[in-house]
Amino acid sequence: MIAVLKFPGTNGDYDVLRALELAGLRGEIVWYKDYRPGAYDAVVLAGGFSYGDRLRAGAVAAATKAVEHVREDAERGVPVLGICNGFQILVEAGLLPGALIPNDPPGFISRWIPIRVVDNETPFTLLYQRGEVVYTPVAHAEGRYIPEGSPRAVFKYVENPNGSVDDIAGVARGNVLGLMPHPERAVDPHISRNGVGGLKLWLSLKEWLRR
Amino acid sequence: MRYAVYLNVAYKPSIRDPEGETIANDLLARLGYSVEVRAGKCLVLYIEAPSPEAARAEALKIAKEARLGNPNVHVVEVLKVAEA
Repeated sequence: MIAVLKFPGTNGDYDVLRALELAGLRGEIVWYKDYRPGAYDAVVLAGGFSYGDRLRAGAVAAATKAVEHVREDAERGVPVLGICNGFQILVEAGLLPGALIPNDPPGFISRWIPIRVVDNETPFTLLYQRGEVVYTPVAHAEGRYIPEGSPRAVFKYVENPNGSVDDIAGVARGNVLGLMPHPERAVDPHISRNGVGGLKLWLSLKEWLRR
Repeated sequence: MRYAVYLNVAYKPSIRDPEGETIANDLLARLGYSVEVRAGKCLVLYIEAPSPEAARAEALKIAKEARLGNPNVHVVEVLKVAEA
């Protein structure tokens, strides 16, 4: 069972659930107060606006007991994925290095963009070719990635929309991955107008769990 | 004594601040002012303490523990301490 973690203000949880279904995985939306460590095969922190982005995007959710439990699970080897606001939460919690700050140029961006897979050795990218370019939507105002040290970049923007250093769109540490684009919104041929480039991410997780 | 400790959560000088740049270049410059601007977030913490120095130290301790700034990109500075 894969937990789709939901905080007050999370709104991408049903999209993730649908993507898991399309990939043939079983998921469950888990309210943050109900999260129990050791209970799930993988965890997805979905996008949205947890706690209304107060203080900074992800900063308040990062201090919850649920994220402490996610940290314990990550240390045990459970794959953890943070999408958009979920990525911001993982960065604020220190599960991933660096910071995500307001876009440069400033403002909310919501559009389809190409991203490049530069690391296909994570639990979420193993079915992609290294260098493969896929289209995914982005929808965020605080996505400018500022690295700390030399992070392990997994996705890079082909055209940098937000001022991220080194075009970084997603980073990993061990079995934890975070990215600003929305792979769960590029999975369904009926509603995706730019292909289903996100599907392999979920199929990769399925393959990883099968091994 | 109750003190109001005014904290500013600001970007380190090495981090570009597009909000400040927009205010400077698209608002102030249009009015004829050539002024550099840096944006920050002001938080006022009301703290019971025996002295202003103790209140200031307590506020900075809380800011560090709660990560009111992300140490990777922010500095948290005390703007003023006032009786409240």
